[in-house]
Amino acid sequence: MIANSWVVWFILLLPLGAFVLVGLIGRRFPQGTGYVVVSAMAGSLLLSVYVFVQVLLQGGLGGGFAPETVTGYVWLPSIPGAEIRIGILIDNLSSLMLVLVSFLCLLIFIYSLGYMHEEEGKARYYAEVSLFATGMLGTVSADNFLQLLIFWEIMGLCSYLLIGFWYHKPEAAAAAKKAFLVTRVGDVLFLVAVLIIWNEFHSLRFDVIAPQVGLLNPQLLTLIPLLLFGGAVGKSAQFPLHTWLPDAMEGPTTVSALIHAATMVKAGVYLTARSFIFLVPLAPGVEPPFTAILVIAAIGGFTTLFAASMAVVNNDIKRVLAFSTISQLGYMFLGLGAGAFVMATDASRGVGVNSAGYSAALYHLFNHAFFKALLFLSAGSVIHAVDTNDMREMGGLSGPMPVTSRVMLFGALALAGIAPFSGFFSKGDILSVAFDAGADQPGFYLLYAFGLLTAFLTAFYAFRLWFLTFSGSYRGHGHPHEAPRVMTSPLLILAGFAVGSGLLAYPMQGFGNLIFFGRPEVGFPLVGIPWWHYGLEAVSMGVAGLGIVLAWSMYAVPQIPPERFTKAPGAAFIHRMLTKRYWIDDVYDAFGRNVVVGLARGLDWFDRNVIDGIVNAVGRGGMRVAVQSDAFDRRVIDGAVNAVSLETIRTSWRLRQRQTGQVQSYAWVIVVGLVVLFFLMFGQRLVERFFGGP
Amino acid sequence: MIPLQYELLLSAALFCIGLYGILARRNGIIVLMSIEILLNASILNFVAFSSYSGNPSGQVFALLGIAVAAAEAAVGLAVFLSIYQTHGTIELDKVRFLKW
Repeated sequence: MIANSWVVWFILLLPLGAFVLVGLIGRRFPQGTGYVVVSAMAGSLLLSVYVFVQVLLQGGLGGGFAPETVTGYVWLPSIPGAEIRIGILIDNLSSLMLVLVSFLCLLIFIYSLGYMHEEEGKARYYAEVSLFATGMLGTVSADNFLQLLIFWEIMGLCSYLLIGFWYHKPEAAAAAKKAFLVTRVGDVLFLVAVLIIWNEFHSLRFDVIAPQVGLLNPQLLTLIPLLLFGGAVGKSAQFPLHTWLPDAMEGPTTVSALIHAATMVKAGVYLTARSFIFLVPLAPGVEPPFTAILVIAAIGGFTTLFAASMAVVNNDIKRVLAFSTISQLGYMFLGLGAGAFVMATDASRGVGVNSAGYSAALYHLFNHAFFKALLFLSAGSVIHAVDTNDMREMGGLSGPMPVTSRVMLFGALALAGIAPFSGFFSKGDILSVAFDAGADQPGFYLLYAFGLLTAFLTAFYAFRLWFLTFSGSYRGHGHPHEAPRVMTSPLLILAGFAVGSGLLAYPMQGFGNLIFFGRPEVGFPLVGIPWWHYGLEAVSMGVAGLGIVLAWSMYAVPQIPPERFTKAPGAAFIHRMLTKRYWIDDVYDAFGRNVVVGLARGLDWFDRNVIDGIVNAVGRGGMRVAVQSDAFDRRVIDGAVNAVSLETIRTSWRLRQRQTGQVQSYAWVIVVGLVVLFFLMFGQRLVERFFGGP
Repeated sequence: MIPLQYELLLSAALFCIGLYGILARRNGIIVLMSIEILLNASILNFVAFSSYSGNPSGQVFALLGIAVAAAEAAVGLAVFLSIYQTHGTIELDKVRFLKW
């Protein structure tokens, strides 16, 4: 039990309150809005750390903390037990994610104070990022799928708003729409999954569903995690829904850092980690959904190579990092897939749960969050200095920007996976798990090869970026200068984490202890592992080193001109294919332009000619009937009424002629009438009297 | 004792004279007088039948009739006086303001 567990609400309410405050009256004090948001986020961080420390203390290292739900009010009432409550789940994973998200958001917001200093619309920016942070904090702390989906969609909305922050730029507006629509494809699948889950379990809470997963039929057990993964593919920009992320670079760099490091794309990984309750049902005798597991691993493994290959040829400093994010997220999904596979095979054999892949993937999420935030914020610092995104107009910036160049070197080393930087530990773990999974399913050897090749490409593009930016001589036209202190201090903190976040597993006796899945996992990274894992780690670091050397020889000391790889016809084709992003964006555009627009045109024609035709015909018919009815009304109905009134008038005219005003004529009438009455009354008797009765 | 038939014949003669006066004469006063004659004809009828049947209530009716006739004459004369003031005549065929 956590003491004062109600404080977790304020982790969400503080940034939400900042959003409301800044959003409503921020325009009156644009200079102060940043400080409001930063202090709200700092409060969130403090509370998150409090909760996290409580969880660690109560669970004890290696002991595991019993998940706890802080339930709020009943949101959708239903029969008792099935109502939907707003609730916050506190377990090892969510409390760690809360700390991670709030910490990175805080650093990015502080950096924004400098980066967005001269920007118009600051109040709008700070309100939206604050809501964005609320969305991610809510996503990782939701205790049921519906609440998760709601916060997930809040993030989708904020990503749209923030990518389109410079909405007057047509590219930014288009990128915002693209991000919203592409992620929407995944969101629909996620929604379907939520509806199926509700239909099957009459509950959406993780802790209620988890023990009942065994009751599902095998088809649904495969379908639900696949649909959830569909949502993750959209949000985490995996193939084939990856196209929005590179374009999302049209937003401010801080937004990119926010999307890539702390929020948004990490939500997909988090959701897939939560869907382990379906992937690895711990109930005895339930066949795990291997198809779904293999799909997740295959898409992850493929995307990691696919995205890395496109990063190699891009010249936009932020786009390289965007592709790198897609690629690293692919690693995480590969880790989750391979981990689920190993876990599921072990479970179906009755061996204890091996959570190595699960913890490796989340370990990578954790490390990646720090070094990717670092890389993006450094790139922002560079862009701030030289006023362009194009690396061909940079170069030689390590002189004027000593801090940025060094921290970015740290980030690049972490991304490349060089020991002891953080990327090394987690990437090595993921590759080891993928290799181990190959023992039961040879396909994983192929995915491992993809991962290894990606490690090489990652190191290459990371250092290509670094050398192009910082070494050689300056090729641009501006006067680059170091960023202000408010921007460099977050960079220094993040650089510390790029080194330290991987080593953090040592004091914790293994990262698995932090997130704890199923069983305590005591062990230090790189200690007590099978001998071939050392070999695998060495190989992955070796290929990374090779990539760095290649980048160095191509861009730092131009021994090998890059043109050598683009001249040969075959290579030129590959180069073109990579710069065109495998034409996938073009295909989607063409699909949109031709198929969707064509369909819309066809429907428009159908609407105009068929539907409108029917409507118009009905209208005309109605009008004709109305004309007839009008004539009938006028002639027959009105005619009858008029005739009656006319006849009444005529009769009355005639009758009033009798009203002469002459009393004596009235007297005459009376007398004649009396005589007539007399005869009517007595006539018969008179006749009988005088003429004899019958 | 006068036979009932004579009295009824006298009453009928009076009634016809009154009726003639009402229908044929133009002067309002004459018409009013003719109405008096009509009333007296019917009063005579009451009295005749009363003495014939020995029932005195007919005589009571006769007295009532005389009183009504007096009142009627007073009202009628007042009406004609008022008509004379507004129209300057009491010729009935000239008094046509109740016309349509």
